[in-house]
Amino acid sequence: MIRDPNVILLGEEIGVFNGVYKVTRGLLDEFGPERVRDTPISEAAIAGAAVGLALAGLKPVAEIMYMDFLPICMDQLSTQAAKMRFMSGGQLNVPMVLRTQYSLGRQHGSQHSQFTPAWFLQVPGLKVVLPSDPNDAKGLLKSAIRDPNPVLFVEGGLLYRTKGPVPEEEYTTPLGKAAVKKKGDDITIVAVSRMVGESLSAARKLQDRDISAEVIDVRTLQPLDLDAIVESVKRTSRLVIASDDVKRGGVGAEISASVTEAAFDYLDAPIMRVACPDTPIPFSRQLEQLYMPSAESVVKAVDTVLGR
Amino acid sequence: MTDVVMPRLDPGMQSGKIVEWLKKEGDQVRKGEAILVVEGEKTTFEIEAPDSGVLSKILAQVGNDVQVAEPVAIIGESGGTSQSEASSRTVRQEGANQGSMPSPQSYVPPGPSTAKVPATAYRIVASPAARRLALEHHVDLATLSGTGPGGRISREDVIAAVEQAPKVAAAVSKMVQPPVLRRVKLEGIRKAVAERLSFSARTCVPVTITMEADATKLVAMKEKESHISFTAFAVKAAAKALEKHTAINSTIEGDEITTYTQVNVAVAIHTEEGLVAPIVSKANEKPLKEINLVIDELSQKAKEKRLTIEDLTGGTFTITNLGAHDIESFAPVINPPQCAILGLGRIVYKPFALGGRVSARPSTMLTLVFDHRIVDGVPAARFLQDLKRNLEDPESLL
Repeated sequence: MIRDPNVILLGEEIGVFNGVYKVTRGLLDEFGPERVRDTPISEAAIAGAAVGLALAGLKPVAEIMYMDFLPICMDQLSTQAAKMRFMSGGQLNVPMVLRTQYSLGRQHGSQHSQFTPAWFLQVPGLKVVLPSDPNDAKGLLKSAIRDPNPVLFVEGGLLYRTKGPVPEEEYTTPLGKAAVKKKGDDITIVAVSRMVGESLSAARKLQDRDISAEVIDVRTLQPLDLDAIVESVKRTSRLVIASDDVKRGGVGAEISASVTEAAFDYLDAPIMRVACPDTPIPFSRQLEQLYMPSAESVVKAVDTVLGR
Repeated sequence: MTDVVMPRLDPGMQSGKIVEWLKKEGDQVRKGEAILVVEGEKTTFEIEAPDSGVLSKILAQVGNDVQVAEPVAIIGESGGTSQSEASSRTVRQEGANQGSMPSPQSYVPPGPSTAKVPATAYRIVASPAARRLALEHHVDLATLSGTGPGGRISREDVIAAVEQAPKVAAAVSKMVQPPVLRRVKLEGIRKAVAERLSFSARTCVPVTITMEADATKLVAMKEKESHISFTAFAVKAAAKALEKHTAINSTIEGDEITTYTQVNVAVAIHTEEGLVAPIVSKANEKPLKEINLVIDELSQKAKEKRLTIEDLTGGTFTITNLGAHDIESFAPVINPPQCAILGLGRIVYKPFALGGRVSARPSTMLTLVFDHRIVDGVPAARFLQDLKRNLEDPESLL
């Protein structure tokens, strides 16, 4: 915001209240109400305003409190934001960022916990970015804001408490570049958002049993760094995909199909997905814990793939 | 205009070699008239014109090996000029990619002999990665056993095999090669025999049972009816028993067992080119003397390489006799897709204990090898028992 005066923020309770999740803490004081705007509780209006502001030359960063509310913004995202540049032959750009978070694991109930990135994979023109650690959260957000296209930026509610080194200086993390979080030879685990950390902890458990797992953080689902995944699968011949969405029709299905197309002859076992069961998310703490994928479920999938 | 195509004359046939053209380009041919001679894997046979007209173009020359269903000639309309692309057409040689099937009207299915092609062997469970590596390193997946889930051959299994290979190769290079008399490419009958028997060995679950038969009456009968061979007696005895024990009179293809009302007994005959097993069809309905005649005729035809495809297909049971070569007993390989095969040994005098006294009697060993996938031991034993009784009472076979 210091670098580019065109960057403005809008969303519910992001200003006076400093943000429900304190992501925007102190920004109202620093940049003033012109650039940090509290909005009414209307996700359609927030998204629509962001599209309009972007078309008018600003770089809006709008916050939608829960990923569950994105369907209310869907028309603005899918019909307007994602298609403007294409339909205008490049005359119009929509350099907006829609930030949101998903609260799976925080007992927020069926309507405030969902992780639904796959819905947006059906919207060409919309980038989908999902940081899994503090370092990437900064680098990817900067790239998202500077990108001339609309970006959906999905934060993990449970990840807000994650601690990790974040360089003070300026840096960006490119969109469309996966990160190999741990090298390994026996199996590739491709993970999305919160499941990156779970997969790393699974990989440590597997290491104790001499199973060497490679963990890849996709970082962005659109564009997807298929090359990095395929390169890894060609070495390990086995793939598990871990994500917090419902398994059916989820991002795991998309990645699995793409890898099968690109590297069928390198696979040594069926690709397995670790994801949520096909039911709404339960509110009860015990049931929610049971419902969520975890390091244990990743270990189990790896064992199945390896036939152990 | 009609294509003359290489027919598939037996289930295993992949290609046929042109031996002789009985007609030349420009000749008038009648539908059904033999126009060329082709050598298949089992025998030579004549191909008939599928239509009347002028043999306008010969596409495959003598000596060419032509894939099944590929055209070998074109028959044009009488008098008319064939506006065919004949001149530009070439025959696909062995080893080329599979071509498209000719149009239905031009493809002449070869009569009753278009038996179902047996499903190819069994499916090897191997991962795509294992398959790719095996291809790259020339490893035969059939020789590996998988250590992956459910016995799947994994990448590691192939890598292990590849790592073994250099040691074997090194050992082979040190091995002494004795002077070579000849090297013969596996082809024709030898190839067909090799493929059928390997297929049998790979897929069957063979069980061998043996039984000694008293041949006293048989030998006595043979003195009266000296022209009737032991094999003929055995064929009749088996056919009678098969009529009763229908389960043995079966074939298995893929996961389907077919049991037949007709008993067609294949008789193994040795020729210089190798083993053939022509059929005594409806052996259960034919009298012994006719069976004997048929076997004589088949032997003669085999010797002269005149066996037709009708002679060689449709068997439901096989008998093979090595008695003439002093073999006591032996367990032959099942002739796929049949259920069972009977191996006959020589007739020899042996001591028998009867009523506290030992006497010499002629006897013979009957060895039945059956596919346990189709029948169990007891029904197979009962069948062999009946076969034995029939053979011990040759009057009943007349």
